[in-house]
Amino acid sequence: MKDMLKMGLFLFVVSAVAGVLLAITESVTAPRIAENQKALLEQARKEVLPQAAIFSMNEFKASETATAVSYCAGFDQQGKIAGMVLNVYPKGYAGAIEMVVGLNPQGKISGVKILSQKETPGLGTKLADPVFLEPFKKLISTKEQPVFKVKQDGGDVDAITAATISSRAFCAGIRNSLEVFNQVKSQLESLQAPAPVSGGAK
Amino acid sequence: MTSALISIFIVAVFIENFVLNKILGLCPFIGVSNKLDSAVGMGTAVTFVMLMAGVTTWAIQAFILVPFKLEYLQTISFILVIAALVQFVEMVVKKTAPALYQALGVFLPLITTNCAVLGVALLNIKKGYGLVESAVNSFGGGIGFFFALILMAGIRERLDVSEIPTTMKGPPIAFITAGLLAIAFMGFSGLV
Amino acid sequence: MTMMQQLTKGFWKENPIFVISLGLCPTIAVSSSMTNAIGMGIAATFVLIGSNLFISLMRSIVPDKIRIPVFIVVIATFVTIIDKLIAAFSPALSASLGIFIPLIVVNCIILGRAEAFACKNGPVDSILDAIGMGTGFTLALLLIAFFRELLGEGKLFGHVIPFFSSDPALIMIMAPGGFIIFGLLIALKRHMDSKGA
Repeated sequence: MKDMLKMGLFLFVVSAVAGVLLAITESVTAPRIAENQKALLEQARKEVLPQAAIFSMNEFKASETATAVSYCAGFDQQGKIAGMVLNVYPKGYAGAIEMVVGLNPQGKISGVKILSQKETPGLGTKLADPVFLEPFKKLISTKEQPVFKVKQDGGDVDAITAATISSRAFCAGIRNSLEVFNQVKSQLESLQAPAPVSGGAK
Repeated sequence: MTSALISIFIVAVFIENFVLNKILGLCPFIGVSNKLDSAVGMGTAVTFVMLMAGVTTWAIQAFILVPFKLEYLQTISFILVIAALVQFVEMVVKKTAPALYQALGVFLPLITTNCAVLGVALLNIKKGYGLVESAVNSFGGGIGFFFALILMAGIRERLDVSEIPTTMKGPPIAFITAGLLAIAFMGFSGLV
Repeated sequence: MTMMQQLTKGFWKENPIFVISLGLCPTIAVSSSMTNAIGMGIAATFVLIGSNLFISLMRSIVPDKIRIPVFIVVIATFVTIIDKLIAAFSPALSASLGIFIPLIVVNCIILGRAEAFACKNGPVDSILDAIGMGTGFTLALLLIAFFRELLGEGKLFGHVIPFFSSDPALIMIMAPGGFIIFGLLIALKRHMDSKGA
């Protein structure tokens, strides 16, 4: 019995020391980790909506009962609305593709970035490569009202060879973000830029 | 809801098979796959422990670590819980089902260091699954492990009687077989 | 055994991967690129040094019956520390290694060395053993990653290698390629050993 107590106490002391050590590590690293994540997001937003300087998170509800969709609004140096950035998660060939889409106030796509994906390496993963993105950029800058479907489905987007499903998912993500944009368009104009002091402007 | 759960299950068993796609739990996969009976025993034991561990660690995360802001103790608490759980399961099975213990007994202590068990616990949290989803995902992962193990055991029993160059015997040919199995399992992607 | 031997035995003769076949999951899972291999190798070596040192210092006061739980607590502590450090200082590496960093806890090399070496030897020998085994693990990972990245992507450390990059065999950076390359490498090691004997 005394032995049990001693062992229990020993294990307790070891765990307590471990706990304290970890708490110290956590307190040192946690702010940095949070900052890293924020910087990553900020960078992606800047990339897809280069004309914006400050971002603020907003929520909207299509109706009383609908679940809130959060989106991120971008403002330029003068505090005027510069567009919005949306995270969408279309279903690809092997799980969800996480992408950010930037839209200017007129609803034109200003940039797209793939944050994470599990598509087949070398085929579907080309979604994030210039091979696919450059022609797509050209399409949105030249055509007035492009149809965001792959060509096989009667749209304007060139699908990646041997990765039609991934390309379809990409298009679905774009359509999805346009849908949200059209719903919040009216609210977008009235948004106020966050004050630079409190907003995370850098 | 149901279809979402079925899809989680199918993904866990076939598409993201723990052994052949996520590459978790290799030690027992190679170590215990030379006989079909022991493969069945190990597979059953792992499936059982994975299900229990998935549910228990989910509860710990949701009711202890998150409310008290102790997420940094995740790894340490999960592994201790899994170790304790394995011990507990071993004791219970020994007391209540001696026959089952005879069959599974030797495999149980090995499961603590099976990374598929800790892996499924961490993945459930990472994917933000709820209790039921975690249970389904853990069970599916276990079944996937079970499948991969018995498939491998069946093949290796055949390999034993075939002519293989001496340097390739045992683990080397087992890994190459696993590679071919993994290629076959890649055919499942796009299923859901 | 001299100190030098203590250090170098893990490199080849008792290489944890190729000879003792411990810690296979991370070996195959993260060896798809040389950068990941180095990251994983350093993380595991750090944990190994920390756990070997502490366990060796505590070896006379740990009650025998609860030594395994104590070892696990020590190992898990170091794993969490390195996990947080990587997330804080190298987010890209943290993202690409994913859950394989926390999974170092169940890497049998670490517990295996604690049980087989550190709890029977002094701190200096234990640290040497840890450095040796950690380096052996890293070297093995690098060797596998060398073939996989070269054949699968035509790159080394992310740099394009001419000739190989023209039409790489993508399967090599996926799971099956890991299994196959590893199988061939252990066969090669065995072949070399049998020639030497």
